[in-house]
Amino acid sequence: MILLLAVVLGLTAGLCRARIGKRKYRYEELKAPLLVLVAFIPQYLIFFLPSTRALIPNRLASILYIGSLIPLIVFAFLNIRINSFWPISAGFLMNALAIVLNGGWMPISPNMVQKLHPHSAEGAWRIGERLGYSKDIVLQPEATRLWFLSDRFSLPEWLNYQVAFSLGDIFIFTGVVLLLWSLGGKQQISYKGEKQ
Amino acid sequence: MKTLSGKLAHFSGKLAHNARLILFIITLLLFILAAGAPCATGSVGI
Repeated sequence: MILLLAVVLGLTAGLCRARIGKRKYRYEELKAPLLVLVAFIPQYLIFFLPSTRALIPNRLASILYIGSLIPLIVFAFLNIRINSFWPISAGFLMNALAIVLNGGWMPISPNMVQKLHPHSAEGAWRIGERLGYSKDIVLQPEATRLWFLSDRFSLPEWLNYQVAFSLGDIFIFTGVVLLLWSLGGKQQISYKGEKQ
Repeated sequence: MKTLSGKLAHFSGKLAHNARLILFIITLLLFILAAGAPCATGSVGI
């Protein structure tokens, strides 16, 4: 949800920028967009669709999740030449690294889980196990590989919306806002005469 | 006739631009949903 906010923010700002500058809002020609769909479908079944996510065992889910990262890595590298796409790719690669090195799930500390779910029932989550149907696994920071890439950030409490996110997510958020903002600006011509 | 075909070309060009823009936004949306890993309250079923 927090990453969807980046799309809304970036798109609104970019459209306003284009309108003020009396320009057409542009788009980028993404290479191999079908790879994203190939990656998203298994993730949709594992994490988002209630009727299927309850049926898929955690072991199979982690294998499918890691498998879905492969087309995304290819897509990220194919499109890294696009302006402002590199922070998105870098953020994704940070997340992917943390996930692969921690058994196929994004690590989150028990303290952060407690903060997110202060009223969860006893035994609703355990250290070393997947957190509900999320992409996360509950791990102590000292047992986490590349702890600094885990879901260790949260929003201020006064916002009344609790979410844990990683450094990679911050890169993705920033990259999406910058990319969608830049598409409302003037088209840049590189020194080779290529439009960017 | 020339004006009509010009208008048609303009309209179809605009339609194609908007369709490609929507496709671009959808691809970006799916990518960030698949690439991001935030964990929010109430979305994980515990």
